[in-house]
Amino acid sequence: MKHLKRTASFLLALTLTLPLFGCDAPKGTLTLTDQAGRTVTIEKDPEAIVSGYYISTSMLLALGEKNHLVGIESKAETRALYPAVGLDLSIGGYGTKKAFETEKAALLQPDLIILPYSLKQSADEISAVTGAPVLVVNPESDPLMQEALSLLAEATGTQEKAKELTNYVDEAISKVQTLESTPSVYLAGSDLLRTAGSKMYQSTLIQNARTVNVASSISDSSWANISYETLLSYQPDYLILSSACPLSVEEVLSDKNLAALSAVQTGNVRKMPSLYEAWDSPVPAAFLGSLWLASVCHAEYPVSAFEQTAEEFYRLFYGI
Amino acid sequence: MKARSFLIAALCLLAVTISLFVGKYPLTLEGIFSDPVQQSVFLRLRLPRTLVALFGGFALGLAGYVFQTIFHNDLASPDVVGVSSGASVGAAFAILFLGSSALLITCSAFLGAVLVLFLTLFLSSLQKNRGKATIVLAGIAVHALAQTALTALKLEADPERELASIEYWLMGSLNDVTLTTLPSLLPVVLLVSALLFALYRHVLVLTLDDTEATLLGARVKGTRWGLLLLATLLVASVISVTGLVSFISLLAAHVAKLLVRRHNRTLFLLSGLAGGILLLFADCLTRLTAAELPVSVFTSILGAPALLVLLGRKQHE
Repeated sequence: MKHLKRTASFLLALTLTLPLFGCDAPKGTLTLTDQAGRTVTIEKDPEAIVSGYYISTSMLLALGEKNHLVGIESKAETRALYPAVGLDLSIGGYGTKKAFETEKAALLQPDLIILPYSLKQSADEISAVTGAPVLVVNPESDPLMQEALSLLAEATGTQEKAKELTNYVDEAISKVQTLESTPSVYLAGSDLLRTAGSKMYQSTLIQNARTVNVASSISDSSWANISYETLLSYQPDYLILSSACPLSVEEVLSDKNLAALSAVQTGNVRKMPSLYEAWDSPVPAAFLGSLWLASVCHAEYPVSAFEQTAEEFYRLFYGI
Repeated sequence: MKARSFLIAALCLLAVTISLFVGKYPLTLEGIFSDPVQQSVFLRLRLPRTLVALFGGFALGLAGYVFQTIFHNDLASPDVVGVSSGASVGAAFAILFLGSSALLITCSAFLGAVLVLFLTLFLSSLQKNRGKATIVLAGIAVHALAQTALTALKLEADPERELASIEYWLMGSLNDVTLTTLPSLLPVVLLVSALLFALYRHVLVLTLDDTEATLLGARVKGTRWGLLLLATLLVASVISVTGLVSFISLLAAHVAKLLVRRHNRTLFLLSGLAGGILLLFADCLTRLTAAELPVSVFTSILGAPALLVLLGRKQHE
């Protein structure tokens, strides 16, 4: 009887312990504060990540997390970067800056969800429904972009890669900081008369090119609408059309309302190119926007130097 | 009454003068005649903007008077028939699908406003009782429908580009006005305003009760529809260029009624002038802000307290 009891106890203990052998060893947890000020506890080294924002997706790709992305934002087919890095576009469709596909994401059983700041109110609810921790990122200025990158690096255990990326960008930017002149620049956003004030990330992009943003007196934290008269009163040395601006350089040069603008008279109107991504967005490659601008506005910084850096950057960090 | 009319005329002149010399680009009287850059800024930008504010406000003021008279309601405005919602849907549609060209946005907003008016009138014609209340009810239904369509378009919009453009259009602005804007606005405003002045006797008949008007031999339904159509055309032509401008059409007629008590052509004219003055001053204020805020911010700041004062005064009387 005693022997039977011992055997039964052994079998019971074995039954209870067996499932543990089938699982990975526990990885431990990590507590982070996201950019909405929320305290979030996540499992270390998440293996299934859903990114609901193209900027966090680009950051995760630069950090080498391509294989851990199981879901990304909607309209993924419009991002040239994704097919270039070999990202499967069918994992797109999980949200926009305005809404997140919570039920659809729950089906993926993710370990981590990244949301844009505009959805911060829904973050806790999304976390409760999906059972996954949610990190909110807000990369809308240069320091915030660095903060977002560090946050994602810490969450994914890729701090070394993030450091490498930051050092690369800092070094590239420092090369144009020694240039002597500081020409003035007007940056047109999604419309000729829509520009970025001092609080916008794009203003940092202009400063990093050792140029001056003529609209720095505007303190709006979003794109500001101005009039033709305001643009004429700015008299920038260069008029730059962002890649999102629907106008062509020729259309701006032939706009009679801008005939009195010195940038138009001297032909200093350019459209910002976009290789894989829009460089006037706060993505890791945004510094290339500054280098391109420097190559346009400073004769001492040749286009070839910018092109070489762009090619090297995408090769090193995106494997393109 | 004459003194008060002169006061409005003088105020209008003052508003025009201030508008011509307030702006981001410094202009001097001497420079306008001698400096080619100042001349270009004045002729291509400042003067057209002043004219659009003056005539746009004038048109909104006249339309507000017509709506308040037709519906026998001091709070009636072109929104009653859903015209603003229709224009908004038209503009949003153009921003999303037609490539954001200013001309296409203007045309699409105008079409949206007119289509919504026809839909409202069509729906109201399906009812046996085709009175004022039926038009208002049909207007509410069409307005709700248009708002739903607008929400759907906003959801489809890219938040960083198209949505920002739609929201900005909805707030109204004269920032984009140039010399090329004038042909799409002035002919319609001048022609329709002239028609409304010529038909003023019919507007006057509608101040009466429907039965009384019919006894006087008026074709009430046809007159009401015709005048509504003309007033809506006025509003559509303005907001398709400027975006939504709040309060002007509601407030202008009330300001005019403070000066002239009886319904007559002078009151009608003063309603238009009051609208023009209000929009001119509001637009001047936007030019003093660093990022040129939408004009509706200032029409609301000027309009809301003024309307409350007017309503309080009326109650007191």
